[in-house]
Formats: sequence, structure tokens, C-alpha cells
Amino acid sequence: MKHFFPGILAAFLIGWLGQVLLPYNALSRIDPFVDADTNEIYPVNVAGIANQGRDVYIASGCISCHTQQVRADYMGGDLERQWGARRTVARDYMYEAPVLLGTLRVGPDLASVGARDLAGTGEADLSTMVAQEKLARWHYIHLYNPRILSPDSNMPAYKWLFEEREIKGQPSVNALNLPPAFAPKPGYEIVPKPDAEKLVGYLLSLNKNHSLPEAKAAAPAASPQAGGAAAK
Amino acid sequence: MSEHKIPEFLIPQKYPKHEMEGRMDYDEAGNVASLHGAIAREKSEPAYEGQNKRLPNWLTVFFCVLLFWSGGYLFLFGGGFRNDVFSERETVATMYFPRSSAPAGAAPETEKTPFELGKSLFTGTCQACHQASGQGVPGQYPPLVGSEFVVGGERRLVSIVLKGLQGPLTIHGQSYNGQMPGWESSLNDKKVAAILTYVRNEWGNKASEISPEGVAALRAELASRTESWTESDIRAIPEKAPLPGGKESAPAPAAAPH
Amino acid sequence: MSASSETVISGKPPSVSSARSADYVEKLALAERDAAIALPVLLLFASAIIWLVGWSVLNFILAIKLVSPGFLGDGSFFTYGRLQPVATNIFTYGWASCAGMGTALWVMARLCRVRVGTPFSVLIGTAFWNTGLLIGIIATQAGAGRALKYLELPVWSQLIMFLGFALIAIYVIGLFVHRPPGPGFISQFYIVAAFLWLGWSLLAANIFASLPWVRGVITAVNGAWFAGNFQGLWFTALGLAAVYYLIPKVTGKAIHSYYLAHLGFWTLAFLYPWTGLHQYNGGPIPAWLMTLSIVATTLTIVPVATVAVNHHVTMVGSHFMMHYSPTLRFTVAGAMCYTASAVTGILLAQRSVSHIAGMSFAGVAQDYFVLYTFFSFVMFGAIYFIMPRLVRREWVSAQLIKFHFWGAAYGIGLTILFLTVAGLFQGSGWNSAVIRPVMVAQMAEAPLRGTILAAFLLLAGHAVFAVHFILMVLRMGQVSSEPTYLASPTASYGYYEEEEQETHGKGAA
Repeated sequence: MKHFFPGILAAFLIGWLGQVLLPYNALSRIDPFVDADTNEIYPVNVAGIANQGRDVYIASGCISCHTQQVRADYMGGDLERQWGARRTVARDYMYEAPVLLGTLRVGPDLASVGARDLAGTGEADLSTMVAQEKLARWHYIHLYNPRILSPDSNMPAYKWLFEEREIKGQPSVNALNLPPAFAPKPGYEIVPKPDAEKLVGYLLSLNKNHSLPEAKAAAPAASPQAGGAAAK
Repeated sequence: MSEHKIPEFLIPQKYPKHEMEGRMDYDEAGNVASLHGAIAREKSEPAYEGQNKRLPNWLTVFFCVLLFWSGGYLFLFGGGFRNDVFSERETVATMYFPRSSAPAGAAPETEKTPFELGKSLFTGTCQACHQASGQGVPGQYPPLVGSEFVVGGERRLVSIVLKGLQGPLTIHGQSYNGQMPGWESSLNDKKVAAILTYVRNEWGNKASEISPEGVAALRAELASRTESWTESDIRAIPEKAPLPGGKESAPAPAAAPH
Repeated sequence: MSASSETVISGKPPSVSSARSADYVEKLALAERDAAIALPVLLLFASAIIWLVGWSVLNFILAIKLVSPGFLGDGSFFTYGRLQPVATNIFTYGWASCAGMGTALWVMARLCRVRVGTPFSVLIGTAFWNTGLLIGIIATQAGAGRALKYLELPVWSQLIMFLGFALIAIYVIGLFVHRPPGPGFISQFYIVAAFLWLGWSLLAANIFASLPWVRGVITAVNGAWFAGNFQGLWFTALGLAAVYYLIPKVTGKAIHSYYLAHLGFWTLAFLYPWTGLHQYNGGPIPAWLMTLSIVATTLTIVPVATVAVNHHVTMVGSHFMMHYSPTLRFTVAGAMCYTASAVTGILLAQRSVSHIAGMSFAGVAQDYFVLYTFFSFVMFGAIYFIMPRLVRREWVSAQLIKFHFWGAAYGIGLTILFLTVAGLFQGSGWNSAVIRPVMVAQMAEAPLRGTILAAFLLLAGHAVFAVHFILMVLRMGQVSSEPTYLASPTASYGYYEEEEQETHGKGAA
């Protein structure tokens, strides 16, 4: 069968070209969006601790249960749950490698978790230092043991990202403020290790809500246009 | 093909002949029962598939229908084969999936009010000198809080922003000697109007909004002027002078929430 | 069926010209080839079964951890997020790939009728593959994994595995190149194509994923493309190759249509590379790319239906054989599930179904459907067929085979059922904004508890299979001239005879 080898190689090549190479050619030409009015650039290439947190995210296997993609309103309840202000598009991920889209949602989506007020701070602007500090503390406790904040959660506890150590002199500023049932023995405190700080820094940096020409963000939730209140 | 030099280690070689004669070297060649058992229990190899039966007709018809469906689906939901279309219902398909409200992703846009826009632009443009508190730096950059130039006439204020201000300046009895550059080449009318609307209504200031049209008109009027103002120049402009085409300063509007 | 014109072996048959002798000589040649290829195939099967038992234990642990996260402690080494991809990789690269390669090697050696010496390269290749997998697993468990489905192992371990794979692939293709002239068997084409396709996929996907300047969603597209190829071009092709060899061999009939076999093969070749992307339905991928993938996935009904027609018509009149032949029972069940899993796969690819079933356990159930109910069952059938020919003993006990079959069948049936139900609960839960995330997890919890029982059944079935396999390797099987049947062939034939005569009007061999 003399067409065999050329045939199977051609079939595969066509698939590879069409699925990977040609889209790569197109998708690699994406530029960040520059807002003509505000001179804001979106997205920005996250660097430093947030980028290292990405590696902790991958190494901890968070992608096994969490996705980072917000679907359009007719595809699911993502926008209703305010997992994002709009659906995510290719430009949102342009600096990430690999992209952590995920394929299974045992837990909520994390695409814009940095913009979600999980700690119930009530602050309108989550970018203030106070709000960020409260959010970070919420994430630390949640990572240490999710069942402290949600008793029925089946998310694993990430205790190895934290250190239980003796209080020497003053308690550490970073020590977790745990309820008595979960607190360490007296004289000890739970302090996040660098990996935990990186991971939380990464989580708080996740925000894909900026409006883009190909996907315009809806008005903020306080506005009557967005519809009723929704659970997170 | 059996004369090539690829080592037998890697690829099986085809032995030319006498495959069967005396070369069977079973580890228990004496175990006739096992050998016969192996042969007796083996079924014959199947013949080559020589038949050429085709598909049942109904299946062929089904496949043709499927191909037709595929073409239609590709056309409807292919997003025009564009790389910036992510929701398949956004192009051709909207004919068949009409949206009761605005389409996904094209929800009412977050249009910032001039005040909000001005606030975010202020941070990148003016804050370095006039400070986030609007208090300026003593001796160098005048404050914007309660400044007669800021809450006073629109023409003076926009003139300063467009052309800049140099030389000593006295405000509230204090003297300042910074060099304010002109911003007419780096800020468009909308941005100038937004920043000034913000500045005129922040830190306790209360004054009217600045309109982009007014800024545009003043920019055209002052087009020929190349040097920046000095204090005496700017004080020569009447205090309550409006922008071209505008009235005298109107009462302050309701400030946007912040 | 064994007329002398079709006994194509090099060298002359002995001078006795009766058909019976030619048949005898051919079977002798088969036995000889079996003996030559025995060691590598045994090694591959042994590694496969070790990985299978390891996977069964991990699967059981994971099923428990999903509902009781504190099981086995809160340490980093056994955290769910690392254990789950490790289990998947052990299943696919360990059990499934080794069983597939062993079967492919054996089928190729038989069909290509090449006299071989001891294939040292294959032995070394197997060692590389297993070693690379083992250290990759340990590294991933320690946190060095990547975040791409089926590509979680670190790239350096995949490189080691690829070197081993290349040795085996070169050998298999060498067998093919030396085959006797003639149209060839469809199984040969599937096997050679499978090796070439996986080699290219592994290389391309890993290199692309490692290039530092490649960023953005294309990395996810690349990963999804590899995952689609892994399931659709590697496992599907190997599984179909095994089915195409085993069904005619055991039933004694030729495949129904040569033409359909090739139609099925070529449509598979052109369509399956495009099927990987639909797991990201609704995701940040340009609409045209998703639509192409969905269309291609839907069009795979063409190869699937073609192959189904071919197998079904071949099997007509011989279904009673599934009652007594372990090979046929496993293999035909697997082949039927190929059709079924392809249909569910096409359903899940549709955007309207992704609305509720996307990114849920229903997708996991689909993976199980393809990789276990189709591929692994066919591999079980193949191992039950091949082992007696390698060690020249028959399987020890029909009871053990039956236990394995029913444990696996109930185990996977319950797994798929529970995971699908859990997935539908999950999907509808996420779509309903008033339900809190913890409540969504709770909705899915009941069926997930069911998967613990299902995982236990799988573990039991596989443990029995492993024990049975060890007995065979130790040459403790029965010395017999008849295979170990699950029931009496004549009784089975008699039982179905009336039925067959009513429906088809003639008996079968």
C-alpha cells in the first residue's frame, strides 16, 4: 500500500497545522490593549512574587479542581455568579505559560479571584491596602484549612505551606488568626511560609475584568443593569 | 530489503530461507505434548479480508446528512473564522439566536464618568508634582486645594494646563517657583476636561465641570501661542472668563460618587 | 481458510502437499514467532499489570480523598491535586500503553511473518519507558509536575520515556517494512500508524510546551491537541488493531469487509487529530477553532459507525462464543463500548451539552469510558489470548477470569454511572447562581461516595487478574490442548443454536 506512509503523515500534519501551528501564528500576534482614555495597559505581565506563586499553584495541583476561565452568559452560570465581569478571551492569558485553564470544577473558578470580595470586607475598591490585607488573611486561613471557613468543604488542607512555630517574644504580624478549635497549642503560632505568600500573591493578582473590545465588561454589580445579587 | 546494514539489534532482519528446518529451538524441545498442545489449540490465521462490501445504504445517506449538517454548523458558528470572536453566537448565529438583552460580552459598557476618568488620569499625570492630596510642595508646586485658579474661571485654568506656567507664582501669600509644562500635545480634549473636572471637585473644591468642546475651542484659539504663561500673563485673563462658547461659570454639578 | 495459496511464509513448506500439513506448518511458524517475541511481550504485560494494580490502589485512595480530604493526612506528598494526575499518568502511560505496546508487538510479529531474533532493543526500550515513568511519577508527586493533561510528567522524564518508545517503535515499523508482499492486514496499518502518531505527538507537544516564548492560550490548545491524539490516535488505533485481529481469529471468520476496514482507518486518520479541543467548550479559544473541533468530533461517527458495522456483521452468528471464550467476552464488550463511548463523546462535545456537563465529572466519566471500558477491556481480552501462547500453559481457572470480568464490568459501570450523575449535579449546580460553592460540592457528594465502592470492585478484579497472571508467568497454568473456557463451548453453542437458527438460519464454526 504505497500511499500508506504519506497518507498517515499527511493526515496528522494537516491536523497539527490546523489545530496548533496556524492558531499559534495567529494568537502570537496579540498585543496588550491600551485604553485610549485612561492610558491603562491590559493585561500586564505579572512579575515577582505573583509569578512565583504561579509555580506554587501548579506544583500544588490546584488545576485538578479549579478552572480559570469565565464562560459567556449563555454557556453557563459563570457571569451570574460574578466569577468575572465578562467572559475571558485569549488576550487575558497572553503572558501566561502554560495557561491554567483547567478542565474540572470541583471548586469555583479562579480567573478573577483577586477581584472577588471573598473575605466580605465590604470595601468597594479592593485595590486598597486595607482590602488587600483582609483578602490575603482570608486566603491564608482558607489554604491552611478550608473547613475553618466552610465546614463542609472537600478541598484539601494545605498545611505544608505553613509553619507552626513557637512564639518568641511578640507574635508574628503574619500569624494566622485561627478560631480556638483550630488554633495551635498555646505558645505557638501558624505562620505562612514563603510558598504560601507566593501563592496568595498570585491568587490576589488574578483579575481578568478589564473591558476589551472583543469582550466588553458589564457594568459593576451595584448598577441596576447587572441584575440581582448573586452568591459567589 | 534484507541486505541493508541496519543492525539486527534495532530492526528485525528477514532470514532468507529454510525457516522451518531444524531451527526450532524450544526450551523444552522434548516436550512433545506441550508442542502439540500449542499447535492443536491454535486456530488458523484468518484469511486476508478479501471482500469489498460497501456501507449499507442507509448509513451512506446518514453520513451525507451529517456532512451537510457539518457545513451548516461551520458556517453558522464559525465566528467568521476571526481570531477575535470567542462567542460563537456573535456573528452569523445572531440571526437564529436573537438576544433578548444585549449579547454576551457586549453588555452595557463601563463608561467612566469624567470625574472617575479624571481621577485615574490625575494619578499618572499631575500627582507627581501636585501630590495625591492636592497640596503641592511648598516653594515649588502650588496646591490645588482651594486655589483661585482651580475653582475660579474656566479659561484661566484650561489655559494653564494647555500651555504651562513658568516663573514665580504667589497663591494664598505663598510663593512657588516650579516649571509647569504645557500639556496640549500629550493630553487630548477629553482627558484635559476629565482631569480638570476631577480637580475642581476633589479635596473640598466645588466648581463646574469642564467640557471637552470648550477645551477644543480654547486650544484652537490659542494655537498660535508657543510660550507658556507667566503669573502676570495669566492674571491678565479676566478672572471669571469662560471658555469660548461657554457662559460664566455655572454652579457646581453633583459630584460623582467616589 | 488455510488453502495453500494463502499460506504465505518465506521458505518452502515440506513436500507433503495436503492442506492439513500446510496448516500445521503455518501453526508451527506461529508458535515459533510467539517464542521469539515472548520475552519482550511478557515484560511489557508484566509492567502493564504492575502499573494497573498500582493504579487501582491509587484510584481507590483518590475516590476516598474526594469526599474525605483528610484521608492519609494533610502532607504535601499525598495531596489530591498531585495524586490525581499521577494516577491518570500511571493508568495511561503505565498500564494502557504497556499493554497496548505488548499486544501490538505480538500482533505485528504474527502478521508480518518475519523471523526475529531476541529483540534486545525492545527490552531496553521497555526498561527506558518504565524507568522514565517511575521517576517522572515520583517527581510529580514531589511537586515538579506540569499543568497539561496527560503531559504532567516533567519533560525530562518524558524524554527518557520517548527514547524507550522510539526503540520499540523502530522495531515495530521494522517488522512492518519486512512484511510479505500483499495487501496487508488492517491491524498492521493501525499499529504502525499509532506508533508514528504518538511519536510525533509526544515530540511536538513536549517541545511546544517547553519553548519559553510560546505563551497564551495556544499552550492550552497544544495540550488539548495532545490529549485528543493520545486517546483518539494512540489508544483507539491500538485497540481497534487488537479487535480486528482477535475477532476473526477467535470466531474463525474473516472480517466482513476489506473496504470498510480501510474506510474506517482513513477517516479516523483525518478526523481524530481534530477532536481534542472540545474539553474547552466556552473557553477563551477563538470560536472558529472550537467549531472546527466540534464538527470533526461529530464527524467521527463516520469511522465509528463503519468500524461498528464491520465488527457487528463479522460477529453475527457468533455471539454465543462470548459465553465461553474469555478473549471474545472482553474484546467484543470492549468493541461495543468503543461505539458507545464515541457516541457519548460526540454528545459531550456539543456546546449545548457542555452548558451543563462541561468541566464536570461527566468529562472524567467519558475518559474512563474510552480508556477503560473500550481500551482496557480489549487489552484484557488480548492478554487472555496471548499469554497462553507465550508461556504455553492455559489459564489456571475460569472462576478467576469470571471474577475479573464481573469485578471490572461492575466496577467501571458503576464508576461511569456515578461520575456522570455527579457531573450533571455539579454542572447544574454551578449554573444556578443561588447555590453556594460548598453546596455544589455537597450535591455531587452522594454519587462520589458511590465511586469508592466502584473503585474497590475494580481493585478486587485487578488483584485477581494480577494473581492469575503471576501464576501463568510462573508456569503454573494448565497443560492442555484446549484453552480455558468460561463455559462449555458445545453447551454454549447448543444453548444458542435454536436462537441462531431462527434469526440467521445457519450455524457458525
